[in-house]
Amino acid sequence: MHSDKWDRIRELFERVCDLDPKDRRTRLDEACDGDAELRAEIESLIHAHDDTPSFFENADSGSAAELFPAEDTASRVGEQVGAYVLQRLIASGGMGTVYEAVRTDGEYEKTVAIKLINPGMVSPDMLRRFRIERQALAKLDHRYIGRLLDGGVASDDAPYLVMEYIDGVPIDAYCDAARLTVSERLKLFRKVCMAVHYAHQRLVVHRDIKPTNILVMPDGTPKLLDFGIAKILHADRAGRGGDITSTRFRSFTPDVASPEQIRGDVVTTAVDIYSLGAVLYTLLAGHRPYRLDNRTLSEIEKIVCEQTPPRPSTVVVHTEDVRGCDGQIRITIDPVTVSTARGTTPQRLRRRLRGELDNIVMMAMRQEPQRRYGSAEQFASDIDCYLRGMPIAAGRDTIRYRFGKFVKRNKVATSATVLALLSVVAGLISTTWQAREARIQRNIAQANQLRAEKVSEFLTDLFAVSDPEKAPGEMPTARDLLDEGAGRIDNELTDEPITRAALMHTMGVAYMNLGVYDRAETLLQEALTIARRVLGPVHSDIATALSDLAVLRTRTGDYESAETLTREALAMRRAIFDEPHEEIAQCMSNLGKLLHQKDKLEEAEPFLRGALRTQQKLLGDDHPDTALTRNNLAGLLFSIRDYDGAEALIREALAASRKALGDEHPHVATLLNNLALVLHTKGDLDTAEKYQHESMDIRRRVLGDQHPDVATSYNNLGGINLDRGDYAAAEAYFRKALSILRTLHGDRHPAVPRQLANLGLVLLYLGKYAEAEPVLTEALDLTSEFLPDDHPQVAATRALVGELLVDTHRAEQAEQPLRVAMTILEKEFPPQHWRIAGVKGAYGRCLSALRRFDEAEPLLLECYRSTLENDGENHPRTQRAARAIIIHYNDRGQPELTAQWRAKLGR
Amino acid sequence: MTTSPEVTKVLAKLGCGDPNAARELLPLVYEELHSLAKRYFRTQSRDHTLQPTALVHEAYARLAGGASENWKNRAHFLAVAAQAMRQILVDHARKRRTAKRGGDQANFSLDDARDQVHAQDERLIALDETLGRLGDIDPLRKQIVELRYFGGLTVKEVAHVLGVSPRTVDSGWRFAKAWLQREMTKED
Repeated sequence: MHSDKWDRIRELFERVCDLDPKDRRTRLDEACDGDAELRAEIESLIHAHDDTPSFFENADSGSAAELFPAEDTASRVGEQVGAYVLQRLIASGGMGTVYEAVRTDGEYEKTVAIKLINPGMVSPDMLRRFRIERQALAKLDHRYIGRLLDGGVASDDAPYLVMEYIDGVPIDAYCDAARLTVSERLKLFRKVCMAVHYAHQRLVVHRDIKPTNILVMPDGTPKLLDFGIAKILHADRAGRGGDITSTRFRSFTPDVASPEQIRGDVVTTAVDIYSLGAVLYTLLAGHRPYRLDNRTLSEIEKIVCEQTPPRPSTVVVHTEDVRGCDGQIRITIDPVTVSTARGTTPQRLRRRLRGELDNIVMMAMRQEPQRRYGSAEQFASDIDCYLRGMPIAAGRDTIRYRFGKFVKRNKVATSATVLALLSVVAGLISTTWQAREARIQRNIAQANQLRAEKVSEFLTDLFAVSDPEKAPGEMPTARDLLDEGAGRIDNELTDEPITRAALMHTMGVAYMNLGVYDRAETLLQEALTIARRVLGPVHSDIATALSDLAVLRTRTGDYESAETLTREALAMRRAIFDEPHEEIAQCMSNLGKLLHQKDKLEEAEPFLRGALRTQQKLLGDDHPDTALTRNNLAGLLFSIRDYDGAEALIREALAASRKALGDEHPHVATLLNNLALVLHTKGDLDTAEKYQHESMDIRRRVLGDQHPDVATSYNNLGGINLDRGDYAAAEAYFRKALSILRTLHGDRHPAVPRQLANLGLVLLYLGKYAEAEPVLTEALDLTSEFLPDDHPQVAATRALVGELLVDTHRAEQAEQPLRVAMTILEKEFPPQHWRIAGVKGAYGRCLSALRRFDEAEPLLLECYRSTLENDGENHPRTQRAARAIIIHYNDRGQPELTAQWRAKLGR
Repeated sequence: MTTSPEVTKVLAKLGCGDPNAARELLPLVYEELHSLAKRYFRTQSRDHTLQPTALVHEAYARLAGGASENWKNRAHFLAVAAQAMRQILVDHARKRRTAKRGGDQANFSLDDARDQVHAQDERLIALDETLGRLGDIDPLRKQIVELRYFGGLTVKEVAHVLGVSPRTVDSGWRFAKAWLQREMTKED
């Protein structure tokens, strides 16, 4: 154990350790005062301490080295730097030199990269920045960022940084060597964006993003190197004007540097967005945005700050010689080389880039920092939208312009159609059907590329019909276009089954999104059949088809088949992809939602939480898929009455979705609807109604009036008004919802009897018994068709029918159905649930009408008590319960109690 | 799948200062780390050596990932993981030493890399034993070493876990390193 002697040794060690050898001796002489043993102890420890690099160097990065005369930088291989020995020169530049190095203590034979700053470049100011920055950089811990492991000041007083050694090739060379297609390049690049976003969130700007700083490892993992190093080497010019290094050397690479960097303006995260854009430019087009070889700095400044680079799609057909400093041609970039490296032809590549991809790149490279993507994440998310065939943010103006006449002529309703149309078309061109994994063989990827182009050609033809310039006067709707496409697909592409299946699948999804379920079903089924026949039993496209068909079946109420299909898709994806994987997570999220809808709450939760975890990790918090899973989880919390938890999740999802998708999006509308539902349940009717209106307005604009989601909004607005006691308004809303549902589904859909029951209920409350009776009877008939007799929904409807019978003086007929309903509902719901209170009240009124007063009274009082507790004194339901008691006492001949309750109601 | 919800629960308890929580967490973490380490050991080539602290952080990401961004929970977790890591590394080194001596494995030529691995193992075992002795004399400093070296915790995190000032951690770390270095070289 601790002894005084031990403490004394520690203290003394501490005191003398930092002193220079002479002072140490003096201090030890004094302190030990002839105690030779103590002195020997301390000296041996000091010796061990000085005997660095020690075993532990990797965790201890702050130790300073002694002064040695500086050595020639050219030949430092074999030299010791900190705990490392330099082994091989990797690269050398004006500011410093990068070596491959290895730890010398032999503990972990770990290869690292060491960046040594040339001693001539070191200024006191730089050393200070170095210390501050190193701490920030050491905290960057992201799987796509090369990690800063250590750093210090070498024997020649020059700072050095120890970095994770990445065995990789620059991203542009990697993509070309692996012949990655445009989609594969985009997916890889998206990861780089996420890494940059991660650093930006931690307030680290890279400042020098370029292909040679983005290495791709053999397994395809990108690693961003040298984060923030530029800041260590060069202070902001705007920040510290007096610093010599910052004016002498600017930390950028002209090819990828933003105008503001070249001008020497304030550097923000926007410089990284610009450079990312420039990198993407080269990855897609094979050319650099500007030709800056052998230009002077002022010429470069003029070009970059005043000219806009040509759109990527236009340069792919050019031939460019890249010359070295000596004026000799180093490489020639020509259309065939470029397109071959992307697994396509020059013409196809040009078509692929033209439009959305051009817009995305140009948006990132805008002259004005504030007009670029607001964050690297937004950049990534736009790429994501492109890949998924969703509308992108970049260049929306241009698309609007193209459809300007169409929109102007057709006002609000049709501009919604245009939006729907655009997303449909984007969906058709999308890569949903394409191979999603790079490891699927290259030739398959190429075939996919061809397919995607076929698809887009097919669509361009469709569009030609709809082009406002070509067919003035008659504007087809999205539905018309789809019908046209679906009609044609039967006769076209018969010899290309996969392309045909891809089109059918995409159109099926489009029909589904428009709420036209029968056509969606036909197309998705057919697509699945073809895919199975052509691709064999296991394929990611088949999993996608299964999963989308399951979504459709969920929407049409066929939960059994939806569950089977989703589980099949999940199993297939698990067989194809390694976990965690976003497509597996997507399936899990869908399955969780489905299980929840089937009331299997406990089974649902782990799927939803697992999906959320994966999506947060792989896609980030703001990704639409993550938001969707949050929403599904919120639904589950709602079902277990955790309203605050549900509200918080929905608000998070809503903010993220608005950011990622914009305000006018069906997902945003769904989240608003759900938020309204939670607030309604919490009793905040006014706010709930406000959000529900907002949701309905978006839905009507984006989806059109005849859409099941619009029916949902109407139904929920009806519910809010019902609880407010505005029965007339509730009736109107319920009727609108019902009319839409009947138009869309006919009668054979579970949503129809549910809607009928709601309408019947409000008609009862309004005393419109003649109208209520056929409505409730039909509701009961239809519900019984879908659900077993002991299902709570059947029981609840049966209770309503019983109530109607009581209200219309047919209590003897009501007694049996109400009793049955009460027994079933009591098994399903907790005693204080409003449904229980409702059915007890109805049964109580029934018994009272049958003059079985003793049995009736406790039921009526209990109904009042729990309604009061649930809904408060002024709620219409509470007042209804009180009225039933008044009638009861009156009939029983108890005037005092009647008066007492009347007084209570009057208040 | 990982045992994340369980870990999250235990972490919450740790955060509330429940001393039993660490004991509950250790087996969970040990298991996770062990399977991770096994994978690394198996795929390990000369270029990609095991980085224990990286493993510890990976284990954290896998077990508690996403569940909590709370750095205090993270520090507590890493503290437990550090203990587990030490155990795993030393166990592995001992096993490899036994295997070498047992001579029961396939016959490869003894190249440099193997000698180096051997030296590392010996050193690790020596460190473990010396650290054990340090623990007998001065448990606090032993813990500092364990957390810093095996757990990859920062000074601030160590200070938080042990409830001492960062200065104490800093000087303790320096002293303990010197002492261990001396003790270990003494035995050579």
